[in-house]
Amino acid sequence: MPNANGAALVPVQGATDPASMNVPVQFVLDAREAADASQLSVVGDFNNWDVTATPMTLDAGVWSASLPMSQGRHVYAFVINGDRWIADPRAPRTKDSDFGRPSSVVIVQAP
Amino acid sequence: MFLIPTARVLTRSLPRHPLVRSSVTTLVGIAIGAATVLTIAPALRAQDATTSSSSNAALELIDDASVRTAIRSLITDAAANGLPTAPLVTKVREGVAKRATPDRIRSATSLLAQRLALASAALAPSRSADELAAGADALQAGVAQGTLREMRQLWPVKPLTIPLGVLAEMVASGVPHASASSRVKDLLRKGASTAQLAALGTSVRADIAAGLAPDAAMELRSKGVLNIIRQQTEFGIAAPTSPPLRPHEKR
Repeated sequence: MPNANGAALVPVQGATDPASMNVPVQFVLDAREAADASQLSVVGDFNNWDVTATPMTLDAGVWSASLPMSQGRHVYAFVINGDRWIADPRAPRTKDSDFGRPSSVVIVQAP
Repeated sequence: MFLIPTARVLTRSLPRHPLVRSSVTTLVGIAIGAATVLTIAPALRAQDATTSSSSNAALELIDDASVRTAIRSLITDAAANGLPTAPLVTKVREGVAKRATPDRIRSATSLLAQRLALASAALAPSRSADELAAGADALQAGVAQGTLREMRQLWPVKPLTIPLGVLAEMVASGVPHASASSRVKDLLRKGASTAQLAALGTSVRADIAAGLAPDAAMELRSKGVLNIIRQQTEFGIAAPTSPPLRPHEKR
């Protein structure tokens, strides 16, 4: 069902994998935040900062990707068309004192 | 229906209205306090076995032989000192992905190795790569090594990965590190769960985004968690074995 912005997102009840203690996490970005994007991916310490590892898919005006993540604090960013890095506009940002690129933070905690 | 605006841990959602959210957060905090899943990190030896080939692959991406040699030496030394090498390899990959210069990658990896050593000393006897990496992040955010040591004394067995992550995030969000450290330690001392700490971090960030001063937000929310803990103690509220399910929203 579309929301006020025209986006259709399905809430997911994540199940914790007790073996790996990983927690499913969904990343989303309003397509209007990356109007020029033909490809979008999420990168972070959880996928070895591999720009090609976690492509996001565009559906109903929203880019999204889900992946299991270990518990703790993770730093991530979105990469537009393989080379433009942006922080998540709706997540807290972290100062990247190492490499000076925009980054965001998510804290993952099992229920 | 709700829009997930950002990276979202796919567990259970809370009502949007801030007043309602506060009360429900409390209930959820009580409910899942005892249901927190403890992480058992893999042994460093097993991890390093899997990262040795990964480190070689990562290093090959650096277009400078002397820097490759220097970083390989850093990783070897870290392993010899019992430190996890996976965070170092990840840092190399991060630098390559962000197209940093080789010297900058070497510098960042070296600094991380130093922070891991400090974290390892403070969090001993932990050998958890996740915990030590969280400690290193906290140190980078400005948290004192002594604070890590005190947190380990308060939680000698339970993993500090989440508390350290929340503390680092609070400091990065503008809460003075002395104040943030003091409040997190107080919460650990009083028996807060990792779920309560994670929820506190989320609430503080939301309060700051809404315009509240970081220190005031931290004070408000940490007192709220302490009140929950006190009520649990006074009234003998038993936490259920699983989190409460939220009724589906009407669409």
